[in-house]
Amino acid sequence: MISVRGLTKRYGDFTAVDGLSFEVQAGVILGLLGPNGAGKTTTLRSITGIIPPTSGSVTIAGHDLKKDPVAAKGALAFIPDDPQFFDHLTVDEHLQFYARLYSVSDGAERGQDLLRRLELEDKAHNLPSQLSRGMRQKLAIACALLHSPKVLFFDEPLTGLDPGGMRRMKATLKAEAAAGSTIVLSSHLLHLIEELASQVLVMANGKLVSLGPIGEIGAHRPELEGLGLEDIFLALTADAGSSEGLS
Amino acid sequence: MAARVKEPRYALGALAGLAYFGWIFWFGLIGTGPGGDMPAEVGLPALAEALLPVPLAVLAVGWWMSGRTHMALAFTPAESQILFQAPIGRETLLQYKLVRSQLSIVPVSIMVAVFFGGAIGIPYRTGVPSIWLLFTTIHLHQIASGLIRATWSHQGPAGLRRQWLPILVLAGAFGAVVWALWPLGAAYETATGMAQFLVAVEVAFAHPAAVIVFMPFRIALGPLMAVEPMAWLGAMGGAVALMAAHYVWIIRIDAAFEETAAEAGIELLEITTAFKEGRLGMLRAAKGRRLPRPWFRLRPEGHPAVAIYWKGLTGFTRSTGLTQGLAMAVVFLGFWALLRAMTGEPDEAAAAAMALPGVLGFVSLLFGPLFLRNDLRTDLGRLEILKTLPLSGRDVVAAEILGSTVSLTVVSGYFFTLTFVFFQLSQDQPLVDWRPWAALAGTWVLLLPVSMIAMGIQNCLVVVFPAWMDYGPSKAQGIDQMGGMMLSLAITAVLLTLALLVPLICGGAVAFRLFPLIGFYAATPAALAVIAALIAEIVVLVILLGEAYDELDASEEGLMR
Repeated sequence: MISVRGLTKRYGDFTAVDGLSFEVQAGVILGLLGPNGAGKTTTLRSITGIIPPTSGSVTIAGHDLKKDPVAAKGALAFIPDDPQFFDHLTVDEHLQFYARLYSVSDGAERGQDLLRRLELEDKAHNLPSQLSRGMRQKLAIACALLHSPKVLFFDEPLTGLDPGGMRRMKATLKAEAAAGSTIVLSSHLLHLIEELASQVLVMANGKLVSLGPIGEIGAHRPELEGLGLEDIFLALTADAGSSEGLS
Repeated sequence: MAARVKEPRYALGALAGLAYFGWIFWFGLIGTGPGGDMPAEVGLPALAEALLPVPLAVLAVGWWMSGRTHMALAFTPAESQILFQAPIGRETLLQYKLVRSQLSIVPVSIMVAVFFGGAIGIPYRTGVPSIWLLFTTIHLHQIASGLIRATWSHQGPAGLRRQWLPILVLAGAFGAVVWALWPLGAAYETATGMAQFLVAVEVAFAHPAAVIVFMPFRIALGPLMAVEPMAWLGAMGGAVALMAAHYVWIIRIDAAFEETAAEAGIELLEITTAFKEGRLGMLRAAKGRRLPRPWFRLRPEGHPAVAIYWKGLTGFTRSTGLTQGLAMAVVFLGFWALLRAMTGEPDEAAAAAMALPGVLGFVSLLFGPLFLRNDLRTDLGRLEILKTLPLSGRDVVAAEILGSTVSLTVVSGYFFTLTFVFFQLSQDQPLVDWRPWAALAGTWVLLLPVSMIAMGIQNCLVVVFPAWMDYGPSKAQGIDQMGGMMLSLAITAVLLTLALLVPLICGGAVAFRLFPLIGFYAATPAALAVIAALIAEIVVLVILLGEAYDELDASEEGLMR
């Protein structure tokens, strides 16, 4: 569902993402891990078409992001850690906006259903400035799920959510993956990745450090056997920091 | 601002801004001379002198009635948090507030005296202290009414009882003015002309009751009305005494104002932020007022880019509002009615009133593209949304520009339509001649492509040179910003002229070829040629800008954190 080949992003002499390659199949939740400055956000932005990569190719649901960006973007949704909205549109109007963009013929019904599920029903006529941080996050999720994307990208999805909201969010992610969507989840919350992700991609200094099922990412290091994700992550990224990355 | 001017674009802007201010100050100071002699024996007409205190009185009564004066008590959230908990008495807090307000009153007084003093014949040497005294007294009065109203609102009937004297004075003043001006109703009915009625107005304002009520306002305005140095000194004495009386009054008012001041500070911060971000209308909505509906219902079927256009138009509707437009029409009609009453010539009044919307139409067309920003200039701050949408760069650019273009066309077209209405009112046989109708229709038809070119230039500048243009909802302020806007306006004017030149040449060529054959009817194909050339330019602009948008690297251009 997602295919990334040799993705590189440079800013002058600085290389934010260095030759990243990976593939994710349908129905998989991929946890994207890395310390601050590892290149996770740059990777997400490059894969979603927000910024053009310096080199490399990205394919989303069979569509090349460079050659056929409209079709590729039509199959994805991106929820950043600090979602942005149009100040002048209400919650309900944001859903109308996305319904038109993605030609969701039953957008009104789906929108109402999403608002109800995300407990935003009574905020339908509110402006984004009248919403709390958690509600804004929920609105971003509602807008993203409206067109049933095949690929979902989340950057810190639990930011601002209350415990109830977190539980519902996790259930939503599992349900979307079970329905066949591919989900890429970038987060510093290792317990969230441990709970949801079936595969993990660890990055450090813009490079791929490890990729694989959650129980196997430290398999090449016998001393990491039996350790939790936190210990494995810290060991892998510490090594990457000292040896300028592994592949 | 100091940090910004390290960047070349802001440094250029700062230079342009400083040059502009220098020019204004030079002419402001030199125009009236360094001290410029007072215009000897040139006083105001008696009627104007009688009526001058009225606006000030209306302003003061408005404050007392509306209660909006609580904003004068505003302490910033940081000040409220630190000062209200500190071991400082209310008197000291008020003194601090008064001193701090001078930080804005002093420069504003200087600017008003320098910019406008020359025009009304007041030299800056006497104008600055006179205007400073007036503004300070007005501000003190605002604070006093704010303090007293804070007592009323927090203590209810007990507060009213404690502040019985100001209420009594206010009620007495109101009664006295009604008593003095009551004969004006009869005078209006019996007057044979405007001149006779104006004499009656002068007599009414000379009534002892009116003289007493308006006396404080006359004292405050005295230094500005004085026509020779000794009279000015005397008037200054009175104005200083009035200001001192206000100061003593404020310090002696026993009012718990902290809660009102803190609330006002938060409200002021909200308003300032919303103004900077161009969403004052949104703030009103957040306060419970109803949002204007979008112009049309967005259905899920159809071209997806229409969603972007719909979003832009909805933003325009909610940030400008129909009410302001209607209010402006009412003001124009009021101006027309006033002119008509004063001149007794309806045709001449309409012809004179026509100038107002006409000028505003051209001004909106020229400056509108800088201020109506419901397009890429605002949305470049939201690239994380825009860039993930399933739209080509060309579609995004076209829809964004069309949103602000239609907004600008509506604003300019509205003013030109009002001009047309007043033109018809000035005619002996209105609505008969077809030519004004054709001119109005032609104006609307031409406005759309011309506005689109103007908006296209602005969007082009922000996409191609994002580091040199302002993007996002928040607007920076300062001399550099003002200078930058002036430079941007100059660049826009040059590019717009060049862009309009080609269609005009095309239209001219068609007219030149066809005029010998079909005479004045050649105007129609010539106009069509102009429109076709404009559309061709727009298409090329959208294609090129779409490609530039697709290649825009938001992170390299600093558009994202």
